[in-house]
Parts: sequence; structure tokens; C-alpha cells
Amino acid sequence: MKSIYQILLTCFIFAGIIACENETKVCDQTLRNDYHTHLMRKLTGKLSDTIMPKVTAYAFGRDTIYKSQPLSDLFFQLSPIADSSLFYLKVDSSFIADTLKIRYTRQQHFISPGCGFGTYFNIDTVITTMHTIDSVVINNKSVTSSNDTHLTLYFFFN
Amino acid sequence: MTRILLCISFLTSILLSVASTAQNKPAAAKADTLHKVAKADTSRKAPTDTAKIALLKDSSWYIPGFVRIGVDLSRIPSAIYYPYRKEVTVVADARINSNLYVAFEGGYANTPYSDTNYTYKGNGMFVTLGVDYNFLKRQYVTEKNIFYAGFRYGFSHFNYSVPTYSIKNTYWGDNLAGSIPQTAVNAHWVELLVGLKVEVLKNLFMGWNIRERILVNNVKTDEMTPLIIPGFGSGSKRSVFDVQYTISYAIPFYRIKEHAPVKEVKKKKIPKR
Repeated sequence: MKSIYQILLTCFIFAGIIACENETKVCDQTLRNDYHTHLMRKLTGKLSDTIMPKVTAYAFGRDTIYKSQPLSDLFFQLSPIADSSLFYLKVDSSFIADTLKIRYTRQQHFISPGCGFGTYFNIDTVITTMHTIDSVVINNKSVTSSNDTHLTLYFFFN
Repeated sequence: MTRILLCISFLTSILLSVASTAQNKPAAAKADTLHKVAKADTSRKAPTDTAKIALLKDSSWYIPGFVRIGVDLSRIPSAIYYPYRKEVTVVADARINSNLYVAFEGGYANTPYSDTNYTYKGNGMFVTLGVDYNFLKRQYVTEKNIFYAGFRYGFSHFNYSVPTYSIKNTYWGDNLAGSIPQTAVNAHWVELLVGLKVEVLKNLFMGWNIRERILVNNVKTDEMTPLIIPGFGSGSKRSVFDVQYTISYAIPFYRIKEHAPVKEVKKKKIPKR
């Protein structure tokens, strides 16, 4: 009988601790849902992943995101108050820069009691200049996390 | 967390010590005339088969029927530690036979919450209805202590709104502000529970139970998830654990007739010589 009470007491305390969880104190989910862009090279019809040697990128009128860094993937934060974001992209210091205009719709949503609200984006159109960019492919229109690759940029130079 | 553990262990130790004291009381010493009659009935010797039948017919007595009404005390520390969970829960059960109880819970919850990201206002009422089955073997006829397992169906109707929220963006430096208008929601769930109720003073009971609640319908929308579903708990979870500490008073205004369990009388085998 004593052991039954001990088991019950243990279960009770364990359940009490679980029941006392304060969800508003902890933000247990990532709030980042950057626009994940992958860079690829198109050489004599062959496609290959590439690391661009000196990537510089920023949104017009904002701080620099990348400054002459060797990169194969870029992460752009989209504006939560506008329906489009315009970025400057230069993949090598010797090349002419391209611009990247991303048009999208926005939806505010509740992430969790601890994290509050965030914005989901649904990509509508991507417009680029073609100085070094050969083509673009929208891989995933829904931008809800940074884990998925949303866009692939193909470059045609050697 | 340490304060929570201390609080839980303190309350539990009080309840268990009270429970064990109540169990040790020689309550059978009460003047229980009915019980005596029953005892006298069953102790009769049955010399013949016809006498046995007569005995079974007479072996019935009355046990106290009552409606037990109380409140859930666990909501008090809950409201102190988690100011956004303000809830009042009334619990009630009524005995329908020796071990079966019909149980009801009802209450009101208010959910005011505010931080740097958003403010939230919610309120609503809830009811649960179900049965409890007592597994504790009675030591005497009038014993009302129970160790029980039960089942409940729960329903809640509540409203929530988010008067203001803001989404910060470090890169763009923009703060997007918005609001969500008042929304009315119904929630349905089922509960499984196990617990104790012990008579600490005449007709006054203290008890605790642990329970698992499983949400049946979806209350989330694309835009918002309610912080709290009144009577259920977290609005972002499909199933939740919860505990209750109850104090309740039994109003004994009816009696339930109980019959002695029919036992097969095995005939003694006389070994053949």
C-alpha cells in the first residue's frame, strides 16, 4: 500500500511540474524566415554548385548584408511592411552588379505564446537584371522558414 | 521552478497526511444502526436452503447518498505564478450507487496577457460532465472516501482578441503593428483522470486528481492560436496534463439502497470412504 502511494505521489509531482509550464516565457521556435537563395553556375550547358568568391549584397537604402564574402547560399530578409523588396547583388568585384526584385504577398501569423507574431511570405514574382545572371528558378513560393531553398540563381560566366 | 516544487510538495504532504489520518480513524465506531442491522443479518446462520434465500432477500441497507460541491484550489497558485491564467473552477459530484458518481465541473476563465510583442484578451466559460468510479474498498458502510478513475466530456465557449501586436524586423528597422478582432470559439475535449477524495471533517472533503485532456476539435486559425482554452489549458496543444486540488462539502440529502453481494455457497464435499 505504501509503495502505491509513493508511485501516485511521484506521478502527481511529475504531472504538476508539466502542468505548471509557462508558455509565454520561452520562445522555442525560430523567428527567422529569410529568403534562401542558392547560387549555381551554368558552364557549357552543365550545371554545377558554386561558391562565388566575393559576394556583396544589400537591400537598396539599407545596410550591407554580405560584403565581399565567398558564398554559395544567400539569405535575404524580406520587408514585412512592403509587398516587394529590391536587392543589390554582386558576385565578384570585377563583374557588373545585378538587381533582384522580389514581389510577394504577406500574411501575419501567431508563432507561439512566447515568440509572438511573425510574417509568412508567398512569393509572386522574381525580376532580375541579366548582367551575370542567366536565369532564375523559384523552388518554393512559400517562405515560412529559412531551411528550404526558395530561389536558385544561375550564372553564366566562366 | 524550485518554488513550484516546494508548493506542490507542501500541498501534497498536507493532503496525504490528512488522507492517512482519515483512513486510520476508527469511523466504524460511529453509531451506525443500519450497518449493525446488516451485520446482524449476514451473521445469521443458514441451516437449510430455504433459510439461505430468506437471508439474501433481507441483506440490504442504506448507504448515504450525497452531492459534493467544491472548488479547485490549484487555480490560486496558478493565477499567482501565471497572471495570464485566471480561472475559477467549481467541482461537483453526486453518488448514484455504491461506487459510481456522476461528476460535473464548471467555471470561468479570464486571460489577460501583455508583453512587448503583443497584448491578448480572452475570457470564456466551460463545463465538463462525466462519471467517476471508486476503486477503494469501503471499511464501513458510511465511508465516503474514494480513490477513483473517471472520464469527462468538456465543452468551452470563449472569446479572444489581440488589441495590438508588433512584428520587429532588425534589418529593415520596421515595426509592423496590427490587431486581431474579437473571435468566438467553441472547444470540445475528453478527459481521463485518477484521484483521491478524503473526508477530513464531517462532510468536508479534500482531494487531488491528475488528468489528461485531449482536444477533439481544432481551435487554431491561420492567423491566431488562443493562449488558453478555458477549462482545457494551453490552446496550442492537442493534449495537456493537469492537476486539481479540491476542497468540497457533501450535502447528504438522500440515501441509496445497497444489496449484499450474492455469494455462491459452495457445498462441502464429503470425501467418499
